[in-house]
Amino acid sequence: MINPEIINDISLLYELSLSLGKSHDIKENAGNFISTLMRRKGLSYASLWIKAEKLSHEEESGFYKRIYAYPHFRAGKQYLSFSHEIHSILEKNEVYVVESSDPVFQDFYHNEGEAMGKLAFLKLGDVGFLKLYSFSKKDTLKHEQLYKLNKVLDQFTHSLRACMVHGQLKKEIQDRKKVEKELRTSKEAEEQFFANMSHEIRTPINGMLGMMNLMGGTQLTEEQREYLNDMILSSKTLLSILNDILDFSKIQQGKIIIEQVRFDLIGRLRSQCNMAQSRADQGKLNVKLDLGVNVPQFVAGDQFRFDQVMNNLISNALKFTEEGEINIVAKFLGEENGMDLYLFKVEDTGIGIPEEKQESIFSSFVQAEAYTSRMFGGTGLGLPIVKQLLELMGGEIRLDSEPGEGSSFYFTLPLGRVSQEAGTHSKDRGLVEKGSQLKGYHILLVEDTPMNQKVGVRMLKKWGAGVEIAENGLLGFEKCRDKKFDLVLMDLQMPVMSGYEAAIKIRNELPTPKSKVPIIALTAAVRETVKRKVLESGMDSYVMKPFEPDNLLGIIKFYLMKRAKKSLDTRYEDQATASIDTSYLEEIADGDVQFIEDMINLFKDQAPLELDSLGHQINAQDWEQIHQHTHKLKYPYTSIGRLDLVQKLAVIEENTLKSRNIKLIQDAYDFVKRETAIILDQLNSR
Amino acid sequence: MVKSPFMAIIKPGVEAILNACIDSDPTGDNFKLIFLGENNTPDLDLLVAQLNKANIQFAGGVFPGIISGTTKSEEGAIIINLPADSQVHVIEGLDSDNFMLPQLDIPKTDPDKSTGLIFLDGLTTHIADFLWEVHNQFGSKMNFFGGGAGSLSLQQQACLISNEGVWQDAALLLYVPKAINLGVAHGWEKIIGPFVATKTQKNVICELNWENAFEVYKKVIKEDSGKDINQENFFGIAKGYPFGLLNEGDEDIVRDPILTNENGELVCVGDVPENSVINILKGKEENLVGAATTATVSSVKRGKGKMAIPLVVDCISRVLFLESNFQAELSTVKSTLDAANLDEVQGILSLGEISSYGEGALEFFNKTIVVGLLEK
Repeated sequence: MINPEIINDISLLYELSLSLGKSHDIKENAGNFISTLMRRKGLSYASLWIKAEKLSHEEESGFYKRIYAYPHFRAGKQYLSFSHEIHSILEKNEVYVVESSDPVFQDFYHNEGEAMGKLAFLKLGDVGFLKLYSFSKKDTLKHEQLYKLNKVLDQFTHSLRACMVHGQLKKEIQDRKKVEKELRTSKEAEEQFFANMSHEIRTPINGMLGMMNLMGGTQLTEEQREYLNDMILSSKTLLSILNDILDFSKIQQGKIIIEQVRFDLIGRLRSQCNMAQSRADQGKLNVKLDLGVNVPQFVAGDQFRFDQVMNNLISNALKFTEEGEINIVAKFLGEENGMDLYLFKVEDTGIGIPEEKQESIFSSFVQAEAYTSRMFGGTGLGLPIVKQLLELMGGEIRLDSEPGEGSSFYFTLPLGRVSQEAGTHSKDRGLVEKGSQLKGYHILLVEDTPMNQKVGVRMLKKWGAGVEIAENGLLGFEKCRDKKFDLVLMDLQMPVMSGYEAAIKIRNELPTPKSKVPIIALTAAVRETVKRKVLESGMDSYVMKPFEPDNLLGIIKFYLMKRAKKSLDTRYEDQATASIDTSYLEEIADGDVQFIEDMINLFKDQAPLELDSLGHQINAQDWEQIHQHTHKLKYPYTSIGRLDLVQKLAVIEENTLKSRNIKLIQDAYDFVKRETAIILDQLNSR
Repeated sequence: MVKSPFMAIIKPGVEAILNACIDSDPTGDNFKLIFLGENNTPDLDLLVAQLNKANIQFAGGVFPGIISGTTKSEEGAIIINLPADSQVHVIEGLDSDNFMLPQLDIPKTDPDKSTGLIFLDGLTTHIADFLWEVHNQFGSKMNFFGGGAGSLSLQQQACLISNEGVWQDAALLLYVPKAINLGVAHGWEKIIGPFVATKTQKNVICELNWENAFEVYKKVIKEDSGKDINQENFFGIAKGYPFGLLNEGDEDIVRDPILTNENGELVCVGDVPENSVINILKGKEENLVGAATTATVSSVKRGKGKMAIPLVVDCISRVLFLESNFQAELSTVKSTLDAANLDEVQGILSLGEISSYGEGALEFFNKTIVVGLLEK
């Protein structure tokens, strides 16, 4: 017959041991242990006291902190100084039992309502102690009974230590995350503030400029005209500075989208050169254009950003060169990773830049000398913007300069190869000369619609690429997992698994380098939410369906090249070509060529006026007028086949009714205006 | 002035209960505690509506049986007058896994001189969590007394009433501004053990000693009684073989197995903590009746001769076990109270008993008798 007391003791130790270590949370861990002990011993109260310095490095030492008590209503004081007698008692004793009526402990327990019964204090190593109270006459708090708990109390102490280490680590991680989040939020807020402020200031200046131009058309005295010209010049300067700030802010926020548009490279360079010459001091400064032999007329790239880079460099050259020459140079360097690589230079005979300043000149808010700011003006953002824009486009900029001799800014830029026929809409004609451009590359087309599969495969094969098809996102993911592809074209809406989910899985679940494969979304929608989701799911860019061969090839080549160079994470947008599609007009015209010609001429005459007028209304935030005007403008753009611009106009129209987000409206308007200028340029050169 | 309880079992029916409430307290000064037997229960919604119409403040419930003196009944009602300033809290949603007891108001009178009467749906889960939290908020500052309402059919149903309505899956907590003196005992004794409840889920024992709980239990009963227990005869046999959670220096805390499920797990009234060490108990009639004496004597001793309303919460499974000898249990309670010049006891046959164990933690018992002398 086993002694029942032994059974009781062993089973108590067993239950207590198994109550430990179920949680990393110190209170939960203590709660499990203490509730078991209380149940088994029929206790009225228990509390756990830990030395404060053990809880956190930040806590002061010299006192205990109560971190758990049950029932809570008894838990009076939360801190107990080491000067209390119990501290010195536990220095010498592992277990200390006392009648609760003992006057030595009056101040300790009277707050907790323990007028009669027994108190027991159990030392927990160097961590603290456990206080138990029994009101009952059952006398379960005998010294010898409690002594048997020593081993399990050691385990309890170890588990408390583990909880404290875990708690401290958790707190450190949380603190670090909090600081990181605060920094990020603060940086984002700063960037947003820049963007908002610049935009808010730019809008009224645009309005002022419009009014000043109108004023210029009225009868003015010579003195008034001189004043007006000064006002216009000052406003333009201010606008240019603000544009710099806005651009810089956009780059910082990753909001710049690099476009892939067919444009007239030589035309743009000539235009830049002519403008520079007109701004230069005719007597002292010559501006020359030096075109290399193989520089083609038309290329594919971001014309707007290219203009911005060139304009910035030329403006700098003009600003810092009083006499001599400014040379604008363009050279074809050859093919690299499927793209044509060009070298552009802007050389001047100006004041030059000291060697020690040459590196920092591309950093934000830095100018070569403090006085340059005072003498020449500017924000110091121009060159950093140029550098970052070029990097986004896959290019690089360098500087050679000698103080007093002049400076030479030169940059490389990859551009796409396109048809050289002036004013053409690329379509299938481009395919002839694109044969084998993707030779050796292996592309996965994830697409569920048989017709789109056929078109995609035909194009890709014509360009020499190896193509595989996956019918849904899951199969696409599995193919990417099992094979190596150079690029993935991903439809978004598919059965089984969407393109978004597949992209997320590829990015998150596959090992490098498979997880880094460029993914281009194929979408029929150009809504902002779609664009955002595409980028958020880790895809690199997107292209509109039905595929425009030039665009598709341009984007594929760009990403293949980027991958080869392991360059920056540039995001591409699907691109409408700066051309028109007259198929809609042809259909209506029913063979009447004159009708088509008339409609195009009408567009040429009306579009700039209408857009200017819309611009003024946007500046004035005249919502009703904007809405009506935008609605009216959608038809002319539909008739020339520019549905992408119709979509942008729809964005404006929709925003005048609902959120009235002036930034979205302005961006959409700027885009339409810019594209219209290109269309008109092309139409005029016919 | 608190009137004496209505010293008789009232016949079932809304009108009879309403009249009894008025007759027992013509001035309508007192709060009414209403215990209803589960047979021929009146329409509870109608009863609540009629009592509200008569401006009677009340709380109570439906129980497997009611007790008045030495009489027990499965039908009818008992009305007990309590002080007018008794307060009722209704706590709902005990079945929810996310159950959290809200912070309760402190009684208007000194908790030391107050009693917490708790009547809850005896078939709800999380009773242990609920009582643990109540104890956390009040501890032994205030004594608690009460039991589980519901039907012996073990089908959960609406079984609690208050001026606010009819309740299921809930608990009623009444603050009565009078102290109570308690006595708790059960008389069940260990026949074999210890076992380790190696896997449990709240009130379900899945494994005993790392084996299927029902298989282990079946074997013990076969050895002790020669009977084969199965799903059909489970309740009839298991009522004589409860579990006991070890409780140092005192009687084990009884857990009553009421059925076995298709997985061979044993469903108890009240939680069994995982890894707790338990015995299998057995009852002898004389021990159980003796325990009723012990509980009554304890409460009388604590009452120190003060005038009081004697209340009892007696487990229905004691009736099922003692059968006709249950009368002896009620008789010993009566004779002990008579000797102390106290009134006849009024109370309930419950699905689980609640007491703060004299002075210790608030506990949920099974197969136990709790006698409380509520000071007048």
